[in-house]
Amino acid sequence: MSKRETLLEINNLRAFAEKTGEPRSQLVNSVNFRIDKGEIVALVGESGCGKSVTALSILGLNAASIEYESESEIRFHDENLLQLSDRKLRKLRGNDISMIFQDPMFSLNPLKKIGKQMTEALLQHKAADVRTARQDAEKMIERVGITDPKRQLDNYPYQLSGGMRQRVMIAMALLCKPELLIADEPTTALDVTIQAQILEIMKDLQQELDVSILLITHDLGVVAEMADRVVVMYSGQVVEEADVYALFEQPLHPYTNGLLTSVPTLEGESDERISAIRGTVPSPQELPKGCNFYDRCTRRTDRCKKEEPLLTNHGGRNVACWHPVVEGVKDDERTAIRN
Amino acid sequence: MRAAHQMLFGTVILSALSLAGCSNDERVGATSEVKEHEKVIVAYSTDLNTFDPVFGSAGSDHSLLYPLYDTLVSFDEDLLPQPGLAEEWEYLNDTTLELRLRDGVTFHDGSVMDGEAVAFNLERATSEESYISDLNAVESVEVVNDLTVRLHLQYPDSSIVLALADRAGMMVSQEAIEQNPDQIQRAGVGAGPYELVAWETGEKLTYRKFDDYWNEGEPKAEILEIQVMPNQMTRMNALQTGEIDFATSLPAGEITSLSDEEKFTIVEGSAVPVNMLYLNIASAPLDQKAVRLALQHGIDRAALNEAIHYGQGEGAYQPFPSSYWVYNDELNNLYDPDYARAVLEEADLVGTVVTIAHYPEAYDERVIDILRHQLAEIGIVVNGQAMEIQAGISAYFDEKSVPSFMSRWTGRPDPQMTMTMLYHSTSYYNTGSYSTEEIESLLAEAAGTIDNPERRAEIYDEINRIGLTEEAIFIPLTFQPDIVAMSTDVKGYEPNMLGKPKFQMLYKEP
Amino acid sequence: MFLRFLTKRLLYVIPMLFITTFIVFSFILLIPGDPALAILGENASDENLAQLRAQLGLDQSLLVQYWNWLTSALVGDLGESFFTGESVQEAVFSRMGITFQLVTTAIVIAFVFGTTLAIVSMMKPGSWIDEFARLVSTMGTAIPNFLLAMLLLAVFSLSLGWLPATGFISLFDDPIGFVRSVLLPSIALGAVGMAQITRHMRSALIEVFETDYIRTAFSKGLSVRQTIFHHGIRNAILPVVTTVGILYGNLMGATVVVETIFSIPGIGQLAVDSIMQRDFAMLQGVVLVMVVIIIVINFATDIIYSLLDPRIKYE
Ligand SMILES: Nc1ncnc2c1ncn2[C@@H]1O[C@H](COP(=O)(O)OP(=O)(O)OP(=O)(O)O)[C@@H](O)[C@H]1O
Ligand SMILES: [Mg+2]
Repeated sequence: MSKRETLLEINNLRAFAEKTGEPRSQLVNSVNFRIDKGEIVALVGESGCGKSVTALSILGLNAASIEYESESEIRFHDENLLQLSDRKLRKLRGNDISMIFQDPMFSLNPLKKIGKQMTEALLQHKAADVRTARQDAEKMIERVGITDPKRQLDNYPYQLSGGMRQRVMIAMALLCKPELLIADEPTTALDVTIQAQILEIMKDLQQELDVSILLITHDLGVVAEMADRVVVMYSGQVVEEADVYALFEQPLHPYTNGLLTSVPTLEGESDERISAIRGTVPSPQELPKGCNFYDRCTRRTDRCKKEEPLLTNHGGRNVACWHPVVEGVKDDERTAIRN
Repeated sequence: MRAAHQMLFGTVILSALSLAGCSNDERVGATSEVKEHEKVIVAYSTDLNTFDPVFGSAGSDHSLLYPLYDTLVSFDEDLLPQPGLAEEWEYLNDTTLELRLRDGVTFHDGSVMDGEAVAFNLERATSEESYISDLNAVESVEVVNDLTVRLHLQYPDSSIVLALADRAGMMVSQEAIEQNPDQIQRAGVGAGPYELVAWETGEKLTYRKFDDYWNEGEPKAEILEIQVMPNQMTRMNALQTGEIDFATSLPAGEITSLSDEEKFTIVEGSAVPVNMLYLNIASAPLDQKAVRLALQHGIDRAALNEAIHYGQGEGAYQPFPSSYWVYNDELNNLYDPDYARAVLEEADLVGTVVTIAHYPEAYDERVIDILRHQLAEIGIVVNGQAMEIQAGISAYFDEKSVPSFMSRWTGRPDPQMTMTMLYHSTSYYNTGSYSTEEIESLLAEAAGTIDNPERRAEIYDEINRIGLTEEAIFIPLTFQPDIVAMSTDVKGYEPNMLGKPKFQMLYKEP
Repeated sequence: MFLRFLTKRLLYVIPMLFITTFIVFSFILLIPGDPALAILGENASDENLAQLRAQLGLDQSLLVQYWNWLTSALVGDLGESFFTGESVQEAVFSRMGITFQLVTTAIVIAFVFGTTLAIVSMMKPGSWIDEFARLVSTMGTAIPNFLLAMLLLAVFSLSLGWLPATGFISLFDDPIGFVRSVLLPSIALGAVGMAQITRHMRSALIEVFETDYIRTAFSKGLSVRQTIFHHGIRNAILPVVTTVGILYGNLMGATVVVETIFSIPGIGQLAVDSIMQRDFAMLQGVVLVMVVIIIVINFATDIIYSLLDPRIKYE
């Protein structure tokens, strides 16, 4: 399917929280997926499943409190970001890979003018002078649909609405023309009409700048609207990964299936949350030996309890399940896709 | 724009305040041209309130007044009268004292210090508004001629001569007073060796040598600067770092840091101020003579002195130190705990609680502690009550709400003054107004004994014997050592028994 | 807008001044001990006392006395000292000027060193400087200022002889002399403040570093140092401004010990002397000026706060 060049590849990401005096708890376990150039990949999963940990790991923004397993790997242009020195990582941040966050209320420094905050990355990475940086910033916020950019750059964040601020965040993130934009729930805090506008802008810019996007969201409506490919996470693991059409057409993992059946329509701007499935997620300190979804699964067997299913190729898509929703695929046809 | 306004406003107010801290006297600047050795800097414990001698009451003022005001009579280190502005004096009869004045003395403002000026000053000192009571005996002042003045007394008073060495004898320029009587309070004009240049209240006083001073060659220093430093450690520190040349009233236990003889000279003197317990005999339980006698005989002054003055200073069983001319050899030890206990037991007063008001200072607390211990032995319970100075004075002398007060008698130039003020029933210091006929008639006799010091001393012996051992009208405790220190290049210091040093005699060798 | 704010503030200040001065006035008169007695000492005959009391106006009722004081104060006359006869406003202003310079220096030292320590310790957590900052913030509050004053004196003045042990020189007379004379006392005075500021700044920085906008700053590729300087300090300093404002008031009232040890003729000494001597006229002047200073400081704090934080508007 994708003949495109791979931009980012996450292999066997396993991360633990290290706190002195506490048992180390597993935050993510066997996360594997890739992002191709110019592609929008959606990362979905219910709250606490490790989406943000994964995203922050790419930029090393949570490195202080987190330990990675030695074979974990985040490949970006032939470099393992997890092994990169702090200096090299800083050169990447905001330049090749940038990120926007969920809550635009708090993502901007309240005491600094918008203009100052926007040009910071430009001045840091491109040998730009303050004037041209400012001009670039003006153009960019005009591009995200803010009128009167000159004046807005002299405003403080408190003078802007939430939607405006998220536009500013997007403009700021794209100012250095990065190859990858990580958007961690960029619209969750906004109301519905604004959400749609923001997504529209992101999609437009993505095409215009040919930037890849890792879009983290709860909202399957958003996924359907935006994504080329979908990665589904459950309890620190990637459980399914597929082309967006294939996934919505026929989910393979019982968990994905559960998610989709709780969403009425594909295009509907549903606010429905993924937690519609009964039962609770196991705590990261006491993960079961077998499948993490065992407790909540409708298709479980004894095997699921004893053996952990790995992410395996299943007709061009990947799924981690002993009993995928589509019958007739025999166990022995599966090949593990580890590494 | 808006921000600029706000900043401006804040800064204006703040800097107005800081500017107010600038030195306020231009003339002070002029003194800094004087060579280092022509200027003597003294650290003294207190400032004064007024430069008008008739409107002050603190014993600590004198040392700040002396450089400015010469007195009619002076005194030597043993507190015996010496010629001052009056070269000599003579009793024409019991109630007429003639003063013969020094010729050619002028005040700082150029006016002449003559008989008129003396009469003016003495009349002022005895006027209604004056705070001075030392001249109560004076009925009138007669100017015989320019250099002769006669004091006519209502009754004989042997203390008059030395009273003229105190505030009453400080001569102020009549012209200056008549021009502006209030001005004198802030900037006195006298006939002393120094003129006042500046008085920065609570900070320092600057004096400059008076060029027309009658005593040729005096004073030797061009500038005398007296800095007010209430804290004794601060005075010592300042001396140690060379910021001052001379420090007064240093703590007995801690002068070791100045022990470098190359750099500092330490002089220990003895003086008349005496620490004592004032007793209000009109108030319980001190109306019981047994309790007073137990206090008098139950306190071991030598031990007390050892403990608080490290053996310097002197225990006191009478209001005079042993080197003073009226000291009574027989009253050198009244400590007799057996007798004290016996007296109490006989009166069935063992366990009596005596409340003593005292200052909230470490020194006073220590004294009270020692008294508590010593008196517990003989059956008196001491209840110390710390009171800040004015509250204590008010409570004891005015409201009479505490029966006893531990404070200091600051001493007077003439023993007659001390005796009268401590023993006479009409004295302010005798809070219970208690005395005996015998004591009062002896006091009157001493007042009349104007030309026979030996006889006077005998009378005082008798008064002290009765007043202290039989009546216990007050309880003397200790004489504090009078310790001063100076850098070795400072010369001319002579301690005096009044405990009020005359700083005008200090100078430095070039 | 600013003018309206100012008028509004003044409207609060005026009744506050009336109330505080009246309360203080009443309290002063309740202090045991009679100024007339204090002045007259042994010469306190009943007639003398009565005469002096009348002269000082102490024979009138509290309200009349307050009214008399107030009406002169309103036209800028705080009266004369009961004791020395010097003008109260002159004495108070000259003393306050000294204390103000002392306290301001103490605050500047506390602020500069406190914030610097906090910042450096934030940049290098666990380093010796971080440990040092922690030490300072505990020691500063643990050591009483008189002890610190004596320690500093013993070392820098008595042993090394680098700095004078006593006295004060105004900044406006001799800037170098000022620095030399004010250094030890202001360190002794400001140590508590430095400890407080270090602690507050440190925790404020830690708090700021947990915010989303700091994460945003890192995501732009800024280094820790850049993030602290461009995003951390200004935000963390906001609560510290309030600390400084409060500190100013505290130190103003706490100078007397340091003033005594270093023989600095400041307002603290004047206040204590006036209380000791029952110099009510002087004391009233001291209190009035103190209250005004505190009000001005609060006001200045508000203004600085609003300059640092664009979200705050005068209302
Ligand atoms: N630095 C950390 N130290 C310890 N635990 C952490 C750390 N970061 C995240 N966690 C924990 O890891 C788990 C996964 O968190 P994460 O933020 O990745 O979830 P998420 O999928 O982004 O959820 P949400 O949809 O609510 O944002 C959570 O239980 C969280 O508490
Ligand atoms: Mg998240």
